[in-house]
Amino acid sequence: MKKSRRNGWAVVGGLVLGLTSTPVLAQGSTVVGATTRMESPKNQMLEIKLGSIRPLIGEEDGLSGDPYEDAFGSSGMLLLELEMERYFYQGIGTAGVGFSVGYAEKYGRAQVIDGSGNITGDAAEATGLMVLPLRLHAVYRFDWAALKFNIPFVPYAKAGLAATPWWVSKGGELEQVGEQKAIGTRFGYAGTLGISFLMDFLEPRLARDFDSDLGVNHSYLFAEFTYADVNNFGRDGLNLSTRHWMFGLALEF
Amino acid sequence: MRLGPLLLLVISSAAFAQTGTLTVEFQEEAELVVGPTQCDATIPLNWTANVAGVSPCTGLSLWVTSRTACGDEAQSGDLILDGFTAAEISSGSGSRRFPLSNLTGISGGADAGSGCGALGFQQTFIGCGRFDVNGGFPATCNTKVANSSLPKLIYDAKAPATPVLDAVVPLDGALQARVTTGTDAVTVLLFIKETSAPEESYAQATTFSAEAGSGRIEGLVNGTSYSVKAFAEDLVSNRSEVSAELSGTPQASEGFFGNYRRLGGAEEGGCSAVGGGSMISALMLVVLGASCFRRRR
Repeated sequence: MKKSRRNGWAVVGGLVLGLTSTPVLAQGSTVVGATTRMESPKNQMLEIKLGSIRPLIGEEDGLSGDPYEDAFGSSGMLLLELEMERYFYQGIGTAGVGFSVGYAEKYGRAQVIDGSGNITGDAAEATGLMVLPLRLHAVYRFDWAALKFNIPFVPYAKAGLAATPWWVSKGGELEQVGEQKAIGTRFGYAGTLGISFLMDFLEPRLARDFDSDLGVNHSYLFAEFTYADVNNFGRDGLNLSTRHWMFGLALEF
Repeated sequence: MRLGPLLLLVISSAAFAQTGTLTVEFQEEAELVVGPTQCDATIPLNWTANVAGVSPCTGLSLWVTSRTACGDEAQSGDLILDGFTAAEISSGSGSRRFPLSNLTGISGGADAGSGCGALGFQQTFIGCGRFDVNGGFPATCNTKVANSSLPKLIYDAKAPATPVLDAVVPLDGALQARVTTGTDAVTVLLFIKETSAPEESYAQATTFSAEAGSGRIEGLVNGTSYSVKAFAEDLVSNRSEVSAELSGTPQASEGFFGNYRRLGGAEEGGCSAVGGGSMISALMLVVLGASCFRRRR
């Protein structure tokens, strides 16, 4: 019970200290060799990440155009995502299960249509697409080399299921076309490959303090690429599949 | 022999130190604003007095004046209310009500029946109260205890500034009117008619807060031209002159989902979007998520 509470505070503290430690790193720290130390137990990872997603809506079979492009142009949606992982294996690398939740939205102009159904220009009203990507996945991190030989890079892979609730607004309200309300959920699978940079390598003493004071064993900066097919496993309907990069900060505790 | 002067000093000090207090107000801690639509209303003037240790030697006089200060007593043109006796002051509080139309300048008929004062008339009033207590040595009935009401009573029959209808924006089955108002406006009223209809067809369509700056008129027919005009109202429902008229035509439009459907998209939205396989996936997500992060005992 006490450990769990401590871990909870460590997450919050970690976010703050992880960010504030950046100037220290920038000042040119000295790289030191491997040290032997007692570290607190670790069994979880918290990630906060940002990236741009561009749903492959126009790739749906039967569509005669790209409605995303029409409404929002070619730019992507800014996605903010939080992820928690729990480890079940720690040996040659670390394996566990992760759950993530994200949110992205994109607004553009609704389009004026004439009596024949032709688009004649932009309307005064805005239209927006909102998505809430959820993922449950297995994760493996090869951190053995980092912990044993002080190599500060940790490659990792994730694979699992994805669910993306979505909704569309027009003029500030949920859009409705006839009887059809523009809200639903799409399911699929997703795989991720990424690489983390172990920041402890730059400032070992700060990292030790971070662990002894707050229980955060390691801090990482990471980049990852996700391949997600979110189209109800190939069924008709909105294709919310994405191929995207995410960048963020991870705290292991 | 020596106790005499000392006793005298103690008695006289007590007499000078205790003077009592009086508070007079129309409404607790807030300005009371009334308008022409309330000309039949009766307004309260409340008072509270603290007379511990002193003895009122006169009754309490109450009056309402449009002057900037009460003075020692009511003047010509002030509304004099029934007072309270010295014994009643000792009860600590009381109130008198008076008809709004009894105040100077607010007399019926001046605005041709639409209110109780002349249109455009605005007047601030203060409530006044006074009683005397025994003071000095030897005690004489000449120590004034008085108060004038703050906040005040404001009779406002002045219409707010005419609003400016900046734009009428065409929406899908609706129009949005953007209106600029003066600082005294509280509410904006939008009136609408089909442009081809006669002037008397104007009807109130909606109201919105002047602070919001814009309002939406729903339920219109796309492709039909409408004329819109606006009035502003202040806190006491004084209505401004009408704004200039603007026209707009609602336009059919489609958002992302409408365009998606028109281009042949198969998504139907709602709960029907969740098929059998997807339901299993959703269940797996929830169950696995819950079990993985359940706290270990």
